[in-house]
Amino acid sequence: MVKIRNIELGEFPLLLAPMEDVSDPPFRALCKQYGADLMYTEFISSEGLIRDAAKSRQKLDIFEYERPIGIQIFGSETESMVQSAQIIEAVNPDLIDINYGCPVKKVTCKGAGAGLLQDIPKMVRLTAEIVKATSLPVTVKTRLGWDDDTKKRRRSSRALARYRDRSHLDSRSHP
Amino acid sequence: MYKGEADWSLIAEVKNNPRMRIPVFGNGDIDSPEKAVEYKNRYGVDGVMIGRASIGYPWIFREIKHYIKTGTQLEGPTVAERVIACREHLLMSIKWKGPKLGITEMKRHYTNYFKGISHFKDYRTKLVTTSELDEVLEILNYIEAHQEEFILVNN
Ligand SMILES: Cc1cc2nc3c(=O)[nH]c(=O)nc-3n(C[C@H](O)[C@H](O)[C@H](O)COP(=O)(O)O)c2cc1C
Ligand SMILES: Cc1cc2nc3c(=O)[nH]c(=O)nc-3n(C[C@H](O)[C@H](O)[C@H](O)COP(=O)(O)O)c2cc1C
Repeated sequence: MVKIRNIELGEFPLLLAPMEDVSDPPFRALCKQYGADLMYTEFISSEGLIRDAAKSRQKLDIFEYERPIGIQIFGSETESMVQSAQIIEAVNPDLIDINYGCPVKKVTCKGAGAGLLQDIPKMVRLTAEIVKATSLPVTVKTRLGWDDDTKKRRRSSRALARYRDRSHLDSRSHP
Repeated sequence: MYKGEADWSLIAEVKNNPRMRIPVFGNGDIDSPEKAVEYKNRYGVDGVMIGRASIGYPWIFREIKHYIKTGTQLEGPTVAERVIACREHLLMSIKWKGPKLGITEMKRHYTNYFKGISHFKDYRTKLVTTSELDEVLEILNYIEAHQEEFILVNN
């Protein structure tokens, strides 16, 4: 039985990936119906969330029948991420997921998403702060490094291993 | 953006690191039950995450489960089942986002729901050009009622 803290996920869980503009409640309802064991929301900007942007807030909507469900955030400022974790905790999802894999420029240029893979100590610190700030289980979704340097890629995953309740690894390096 | 195959051997390495005490899920390029099982066995991950293959094909989850349990392929959804799921998606989408956005944002999903159906192009064009719910439903109802006219070429 695979478990994230107390969340039982079965023998070999199938997870629905977070996908912007795709993994919204209507789509998730279908995936749940056909057997997804754990689902994630689209990613939510921590900067948007703490400023109460409507677009970000709307993505917090989750439903009982979706459980277990994780809400994904991205960002690079510790303060904003910690505050976001608290906002998320208030809507009571089953877990929080941190995006360390998004390669989209508007995200990485600000040092968020896959951008954090260029500063592994910072990624570890940020993860630790979020884990500390919430009582929810925390998972991270990362890709195996920023570039093709295999050693660096390994280091990022090892470094995180100590902090995570769960990780899911996205296996591409940044193109 | 997605160049080449995802490299799962590194995921396996992370998973099999003796210091790794937490479950690891693999993600990248899983698009069939066979591949899910092959990767499960080859890389030893605790589970898999699926993205693109689920878009317009939520059946992938039950198909993988069935394959793991029985070693046999579950029959894919019929044309009518695709319509039913697609319509459900559309109606929830409208409820969720309002009629205008709900109908517009559904347009990117039609191709996927009806992938593999031969000579579907005209219907798809109609589905993505109209912004009237009545018309969309009419097309969907037609497809459902005449599924023998639609041939699934892959699946
Ligand atoms: C349209 C689209 C949107 C995505 N949005 C997100 C996102 O918001 N957060 C995230 O972590 N990954 C996102 N991804 C990446 C997916 O979660 C997944 O890691 C990637 O598609 C690889 O899995 P796949 O080969 O099964 O699709 C997105 C992918 C797609 C195709
Ligand atoms: C909001 C967003 C977040 C994404 N996050 C991730 C991610 O965390 N990991 C990843 O591998 N790809 C991520 N992607 C990359 C998408 O998978 C990519 O944009 C998509 O596959 C584009 O596919 P296309 O080339 O078919 O348009 C993300 C994309 C978007 C739009």
